[in-house]
Amino acid sequence: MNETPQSGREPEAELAAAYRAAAPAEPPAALDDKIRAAARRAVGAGPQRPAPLWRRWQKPLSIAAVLLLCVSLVAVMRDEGGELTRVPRAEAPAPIATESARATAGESAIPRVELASPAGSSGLGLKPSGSGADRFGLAGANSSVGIRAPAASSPEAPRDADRLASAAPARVQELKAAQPASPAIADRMRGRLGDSANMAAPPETAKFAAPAAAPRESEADRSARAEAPVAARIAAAPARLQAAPASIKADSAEPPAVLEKSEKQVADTVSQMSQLPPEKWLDRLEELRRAGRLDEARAGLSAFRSRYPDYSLPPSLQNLARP
Amino acid sequence: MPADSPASDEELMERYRDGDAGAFDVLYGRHKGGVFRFMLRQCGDRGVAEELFQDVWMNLIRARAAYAVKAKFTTYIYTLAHNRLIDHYRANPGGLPLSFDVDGGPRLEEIAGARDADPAVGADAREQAVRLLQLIGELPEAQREAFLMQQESDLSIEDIARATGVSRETAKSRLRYALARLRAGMREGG
Repeated sequence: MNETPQSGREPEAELAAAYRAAAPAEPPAALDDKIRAAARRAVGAGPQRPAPLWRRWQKPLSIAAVLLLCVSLVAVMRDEGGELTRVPRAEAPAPIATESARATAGESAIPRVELASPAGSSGLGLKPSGSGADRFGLAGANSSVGIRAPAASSPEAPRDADRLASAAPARVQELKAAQPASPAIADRMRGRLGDSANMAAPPETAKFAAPAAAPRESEADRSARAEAPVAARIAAAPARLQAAPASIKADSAEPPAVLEKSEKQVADTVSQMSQLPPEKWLDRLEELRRAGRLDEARAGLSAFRSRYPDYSLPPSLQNLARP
Repeated sequence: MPADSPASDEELMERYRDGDAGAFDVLYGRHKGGVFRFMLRQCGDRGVAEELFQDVWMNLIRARAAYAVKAKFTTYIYTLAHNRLIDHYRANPGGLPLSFDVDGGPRLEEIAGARDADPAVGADAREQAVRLLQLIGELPEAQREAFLMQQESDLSIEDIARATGVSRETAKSRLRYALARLRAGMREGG
């Protein structure tokens, strides 16, 4: 006893001795077992048996396996993403064509749109080469718009430029070879580009593209164009293409291979129709319009009006001729 | 500390908190008798004592994760026992005994023979033990509690005060009155 309430310790010691001499009471053995079992259950321990080695490492190993799986998946997805980006970049003729056309028409005729874009943003919502835009085949569109991304963020830019330069002359030759179809194609592309300019260009794009925008054709231009020799207009086609708003050329999100195929189809259709008499030619145009092949119908109509400017058109085709 | 010296109660409790079920067995073996007798002497009924005793240890098991050494383990376990006992009193129709509200009983001088008791005189040890248990049962609950804590676990007055949630002076007073009554009773009985 640590402190005695009274001065004499002997009587207290006598009491303690008497208390110890009393019959010792203990809890029953069943209660002991019950409490000990509860204590073991509470700490998750069996009857003094250590957990096996694999069980102690179960959680760390599980976490490590999940992490490894995640890293592997990310690596695989990254590799597959790289393969996807290589396919459209390998065949990107449309930007090449416009770039070469610019070279043919002369740089002085078209004010080049150059945006001093900060790193990581081109101002048109297109990212520099190597970014997400590049992965979705927009690298060619980027170069055709004339947006110069920082060289540091575009390691493939010099290679693309070399490729464009080497392909430009051949592409010009291709355009000239497609003489009968060229006016129609040029008109169609200009129509498409005009629509894109009205609908999709963001404000800053319109601001930068305004000096390069092609003016709307007046009636005089239209009549003069109708009387001009087809060959001269074909020769001017690359320049007209280049005169389209630079920012609008970003519309080449359409796969270039598909675009080239449709152009070839339109040219073939127009070439076939040009050998028909005027009545048959108009019938064929009407069929195309009804079939929903409006690009071919418009191209054929444009060629028809060039050849027969005084021939009266049925109302349905007059509507088709309107932009 | 020598390597073969037995672990202290506090060390055992910390080992149990950290998952060593064997440490609990040692701890339980050391203190089960004292806690059980404390409950038995306090409530006087073996069945109720077993129930309260089990509750005390279950409460300790449940609270093991929060255990930290702030006092002696005996103080900790008798705190749990005291709290369970108070709950038991409050659950009964009689409610909490009055002795837990007052410091306790008559003045010390009024207890006959309180200062000169000699419990060993005129009786053998066995008879004295029986008589003492009877007297303990007649003590007010708070005084009995203080006496039992001191006898069963050798708690100091400070430890008794901490376990029962009263001041040191109150604990000391309760213990003094308990001893005085027991001495007087033993002298009268002898």
